[in-house]
Amino acid sequence: MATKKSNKINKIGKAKAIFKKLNNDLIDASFNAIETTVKTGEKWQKLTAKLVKKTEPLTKKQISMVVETAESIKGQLEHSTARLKTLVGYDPKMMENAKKMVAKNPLVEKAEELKEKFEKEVSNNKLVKKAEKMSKKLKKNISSTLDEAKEKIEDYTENAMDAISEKMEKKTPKKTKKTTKNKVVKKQEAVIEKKEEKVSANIQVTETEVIDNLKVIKGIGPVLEKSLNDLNITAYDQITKMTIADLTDLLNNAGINAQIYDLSGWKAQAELALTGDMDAVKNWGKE
Amino acid sequence: MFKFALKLIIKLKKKMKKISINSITKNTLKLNKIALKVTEKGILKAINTSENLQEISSKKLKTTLNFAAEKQDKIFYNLEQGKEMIWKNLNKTLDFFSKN
Repeated sequence: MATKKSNKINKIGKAKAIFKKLNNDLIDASFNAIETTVKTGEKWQKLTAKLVKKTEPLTKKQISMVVETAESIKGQLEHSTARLKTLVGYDPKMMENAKKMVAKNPLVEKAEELKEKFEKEVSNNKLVKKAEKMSKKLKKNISSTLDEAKEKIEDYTENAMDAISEKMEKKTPKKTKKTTKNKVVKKQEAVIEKKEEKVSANIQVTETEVIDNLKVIKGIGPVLEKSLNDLNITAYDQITKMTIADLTDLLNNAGINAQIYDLSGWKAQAELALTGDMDAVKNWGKE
Repeated sequence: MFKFALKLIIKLKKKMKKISINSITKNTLKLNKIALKVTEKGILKAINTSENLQEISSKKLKTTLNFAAEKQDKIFYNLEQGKEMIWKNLNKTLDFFSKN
């Protein structure tokens, strides 16, 4: 037993010694490698410095060449302009006088006045202003429609997720498929009813027996009039009492894109029609 | 004897290791020297050729500029002569009309 133990100890000692030697060799090798790389790097650095020094006169020559050519071209241009002036008989005083004459000419002054007037008229033009307003409205409408579309998509996804979760909950192994389906359909119907109730609760349209010609209002055609009548809007009075937000909600719920129409204009026109000023309603937008 | 042989083999192995390390370093250094020489030669040749090219191009540029200046002078000379001719003829015609 004792001999076995001593053998083991000897073996471990030998292994340790081998590892130590290996480590020392590796360290020496790495040191050597680093030294050689440093030496070679230094040599390369010296070479690059030498070459850069050699290229310096080349760059100087290049620069001087460019400058000389530029100077010669400049001299030629100056010489040619001077000769041209003498050839044509150019007189700077004459030119100044001519410029002054042109500036003082009544025709030129008139042309400038006309130009200013034209610019003012263009800026004050109603069509231009309208175009600017329309572009602003279009921007607003686009942003609002995008927001609405986002909301709708979110609502739709939420509803779909709810329906799926309900289906998953209802799908128990003992119960039949028919009963679960019926329940899901019932739940969906209840959700739709709730939504409809919400809409009806938000927007209240008081029915009247008065039936006005809504087509008089700009933007309302026969089709829109019908759809408004279906929503119990038949009189000018109803439109005047409703807010723009309510109107937009009502139209959107009915599947009509309210963003296309000028609802504030509808209200103003309905008010005019109520007072009996039908000419103003007819000429709406023309003034 | 066997032990002696083993010791000899170990010593030989050590020497071989040393020899191999030394040879690798020597060879790498030699290679580096060769690379340095080759690059130096190549770049120096490139510099020389570029210098020659620069001289040629500068000469050509000078000649073209001189040529352009001469042409310009000729054009202006012709124009000035034409102007003088026109003035002379104008004066002659004016005299002719004033006399008649």
